[in-house]
Amino acid sequence: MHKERCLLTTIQSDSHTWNLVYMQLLLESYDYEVNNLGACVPVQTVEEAISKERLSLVVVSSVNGSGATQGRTLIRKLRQLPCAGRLRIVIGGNLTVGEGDDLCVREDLLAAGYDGVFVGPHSTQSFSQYIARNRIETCHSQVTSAYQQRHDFTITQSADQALSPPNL
Amino acid sequence: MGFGSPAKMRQGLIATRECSVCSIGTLTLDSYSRGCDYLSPLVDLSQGIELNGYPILSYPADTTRQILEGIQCDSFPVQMRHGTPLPMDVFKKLGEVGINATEGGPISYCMPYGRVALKDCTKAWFNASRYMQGEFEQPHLETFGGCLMGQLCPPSLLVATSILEALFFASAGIRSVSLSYCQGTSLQQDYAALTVLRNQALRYLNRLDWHVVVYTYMGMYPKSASGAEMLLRDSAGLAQTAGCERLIVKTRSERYRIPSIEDNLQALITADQAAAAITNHPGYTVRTAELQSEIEEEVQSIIESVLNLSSDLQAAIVGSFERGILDIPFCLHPDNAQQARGLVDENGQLKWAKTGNLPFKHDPSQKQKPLTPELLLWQLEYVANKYDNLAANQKGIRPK
Repeated sequence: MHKERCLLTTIQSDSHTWNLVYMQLLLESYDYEVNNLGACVPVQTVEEAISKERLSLVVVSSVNGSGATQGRTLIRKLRQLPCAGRLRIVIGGNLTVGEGDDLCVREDLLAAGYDGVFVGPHSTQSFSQYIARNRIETCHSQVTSAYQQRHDFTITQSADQALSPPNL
Repeated sequence: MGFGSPAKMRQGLIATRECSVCSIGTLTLDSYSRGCDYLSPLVDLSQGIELNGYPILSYPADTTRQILEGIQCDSFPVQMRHGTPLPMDVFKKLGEVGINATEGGPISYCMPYGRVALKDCTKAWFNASRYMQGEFEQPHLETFGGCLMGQLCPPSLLVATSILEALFFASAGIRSVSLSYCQGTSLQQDYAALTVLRNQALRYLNRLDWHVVVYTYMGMYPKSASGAEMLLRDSAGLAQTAGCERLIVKTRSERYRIPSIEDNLQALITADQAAAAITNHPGYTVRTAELQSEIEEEVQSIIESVLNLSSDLQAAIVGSFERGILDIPFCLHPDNAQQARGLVDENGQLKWAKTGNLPFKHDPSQKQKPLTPELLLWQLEYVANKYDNLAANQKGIRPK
């Protein structure tokens, strides 16, 4: 099973990096190969990385309270890229200054184009579950397509027939 | 200390000056301004949104002069704290408003918090330091190299970086410097490191007017107020025992919010009391001597290798990072080699997990289990948990 590539980034104004160090380890523990762009990433740098690499996932992690506003600008730009139409792009962290804004922020960012928004006290847990599910689906489709290539017919999937995921 | 409102900034400086502690004043820049965005601070303030610092570049010089009027003097200097990789705008503003003390460095304000190319940053810091030397009366620069990422960096690299940044300032003509060192995971190890720092300063900086400034722990802070207070008191005791001249404090609210003026005052008073209460030397044990010699050997190796690369410190620093002779653990900057890594060992001390190309004579790295996210978190939370537990245990034995 080849490794999936993940782009890990933050927003332009955010100079915090321990969240990015942690996220990289977390993604690597789910067998992703991670390109970690580090602090204060300009939108253009994210666009270039997405256009150059074959990615399965983009993760935006931010903790300085500006993630909701700058994250919204970012996703709108990214979804205009031809290669980013079906790319899974998620965002998480401390995205606002006030604590009670999580739900509104979540709806707003999903509407803007993110596939997942991970905020609040259990955000890391939910994110782990999300990438675990993501890995199972990806592995499943890799195995399925490898099998299809060898046997040259399509498989009808059902929950009962789902293949076991590799050991995560 | 930094607030968006000039009135509150002045109030904070007055309170700091008038409290019983021998203190200096600080103006801390907000994070928009650190990224050269001088408009957003004013937009936020106009919408009633509080900033996380004072936007000195967004206000006319007169506004800041009025803050300092009648407060700043020889016995109460004011230092600008800013965190900018390209500091010329800040330094020019300081010249306009009459502040002659600031801090940072080409390594410490480039690598940990941004992505400005190191060669651009070293050039900018050299030019800005030359500007200070030429234009200011008695300019003073403090290194931030003793802090770097704030966590998980073995002390030898902090000490070496602090000395190298001071040498860098000196090469630009600055004659008055202070050397930072940030409290780590072990008081004994920190005491040894501070002894090495002072010895290295005597060796390399003997033509300069220098002193050492200890920073209270810069990593993840205890959750409890009493844990936070114990950590602060220990840092004050450390600074006092190690013969250091200045301490930069952290407040009880560090984990939760930007500190208020009252938080800051309480921290100053607590630290002052803790330092005054030191009556005994903690003990120059055999173990401290071993730690000192270990740290000294690593520091010497780093400094000599960097200085041997070039007599031009800009070239020496850039070349060192290119070769991994300088390599900051967990630093994600594109110019950092990212081959070196620190860890908290079973004695609660900061050691090397891997050293990459750091120029040590003997490889000091310790075997470590693979770094999982859980192990990283444990290490990041080590000090916070230690002090929260200490505080809780103390409470447990107090009679009701």
